[in-house]
Amino acid sequence: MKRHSLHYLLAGLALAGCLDPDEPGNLVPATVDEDPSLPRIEVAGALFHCQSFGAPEAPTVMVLHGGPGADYRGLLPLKALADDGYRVVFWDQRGTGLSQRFDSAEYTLPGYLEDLRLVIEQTVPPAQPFVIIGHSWGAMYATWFINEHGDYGGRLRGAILSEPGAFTKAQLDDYLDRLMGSVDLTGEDFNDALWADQFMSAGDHARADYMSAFFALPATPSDHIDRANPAPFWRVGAVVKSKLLNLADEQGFDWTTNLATFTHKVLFLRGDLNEAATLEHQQMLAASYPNAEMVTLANVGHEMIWERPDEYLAHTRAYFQSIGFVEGVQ
Amino acid sequence: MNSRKLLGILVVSLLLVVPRPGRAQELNLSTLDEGPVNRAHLRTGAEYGFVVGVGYARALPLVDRHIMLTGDITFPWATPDISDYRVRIGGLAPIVGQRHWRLAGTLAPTMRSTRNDVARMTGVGIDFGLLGGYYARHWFAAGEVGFDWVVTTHVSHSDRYRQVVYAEARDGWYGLPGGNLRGGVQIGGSFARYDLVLRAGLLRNSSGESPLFPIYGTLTFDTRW
Repeated sequence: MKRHSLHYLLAGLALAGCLDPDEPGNLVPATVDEDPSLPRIEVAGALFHCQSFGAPEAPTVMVLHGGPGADYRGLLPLKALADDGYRVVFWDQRGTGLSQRFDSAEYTLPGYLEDLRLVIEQTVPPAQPFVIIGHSWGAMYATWFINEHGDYGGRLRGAILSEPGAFTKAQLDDYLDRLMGSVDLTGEDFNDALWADQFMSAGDHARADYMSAFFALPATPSDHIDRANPAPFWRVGAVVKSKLLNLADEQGFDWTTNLATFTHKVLFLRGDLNEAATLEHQQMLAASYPNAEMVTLANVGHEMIWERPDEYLAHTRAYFQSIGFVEGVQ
Repeated sequence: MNSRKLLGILVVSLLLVVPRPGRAQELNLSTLDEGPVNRAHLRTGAEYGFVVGVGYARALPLVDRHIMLTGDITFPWATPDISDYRVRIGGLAPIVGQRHWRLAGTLAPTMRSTRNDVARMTGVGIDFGLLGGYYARHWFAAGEVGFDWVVTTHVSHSDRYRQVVYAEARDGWYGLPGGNLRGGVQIGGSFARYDLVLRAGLLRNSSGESPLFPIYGTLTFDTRW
């Protein structure tokens, strides 16, 4: 009883005038279920942060962000494609960015894949073709979809894949070894993240997301981001990131089994500074597609869309022209 | 929370803990009641990063036994930064045991600081612990459990966090932001006026999940005079 009294007394004193780390908007931004002003769609009972740019009847570019657990904020330079006559759809995947959070038990691999199909159904009119631009994990997500659904009844005309990590579990293990192997265990960024664990615990979604930023903000060295111009993000989806990686590790995956049937041209667009997604690595992944082309941007790392939007967009436009994905296409 | 409220919390916390035993220690409890009353230690290892710490302790008689009052400061050494430190002032008191089997309690108000890409943070909390085991004259083996409770943490977000992640992030004192449980073992040897102690164990946060670095292991050299 005496110990309980001590706890209650100290807790009461501490809480007097203190901020609540779990209150929406304090440490990380409020999500669509917490802030009604945010643009959203509702899919299978879940609220997704979603924005689209361009005329509704225009051919659609479906943008898939990286992670898992990242968001589309750093990919927004791609909305310039709306000025070229495309409709560009951005959405934060389940549990990420400003989309609604879910507890770990609610994430499944089949459910995550179905999310993408349902978002396409909701945001791309039935008669319209579309192309996917996937960055990092988003490029893996796109490949997963293609392996499962092919060209989706002829509607999916192609894909731009920027530095996917892996299409199989074995490839992922190799990729993560290179990625994490670049982290300096005695370096300031890593040790700052470790030391910060004494100040706050990931006891709630908001705190878990916030704590993940201690590791995400400095970025992984092998990615070679431009620290003077870092790609912005809204929030690290700590729970979904951890859960999807755990599911992939436990259940394994091979998203290459049906890729041979996808004969549309696929563009692999990479930065030459990335030490985890090397040219050889990307060529190995591209070999799973029967019709793939590799383009390397010079002097840029993993965040090429944010850091070199003009070059990225130029290659994107050229690719769209090459596959006949232009205004008025049916 | 303003500085006066924080000061109030600290004063009340200290008043509440003074009559109680102090912080987790690495020492041979069988030497607690012996001659030299002064101790100093140097510790290094891994505990929320690679750390080095120094401290001073003094044994004081209390009724029929001795308690130990301590002060300790710890820094991460991998990349020295004067913004990163942890200070503990507390002590240790025997609870039960007279000969080889002994149990002691520890309690220590703690202040810690860090500055990183996300924020500058100052944490105030209390560390509770129990350690007990077999203590012979020249060696010991013991188990330890503890809870490093963070009462409040002041967060002042960096310009980088505001530019890259969240411009509207709120600065201030955050109440009850968490804490970490620990459970592990200590083994040590005592030679003349020196002790060498190895600690190792597991960490879990207040939700039962692993922190980024889920284990700790330290080596402490302690001398008495």
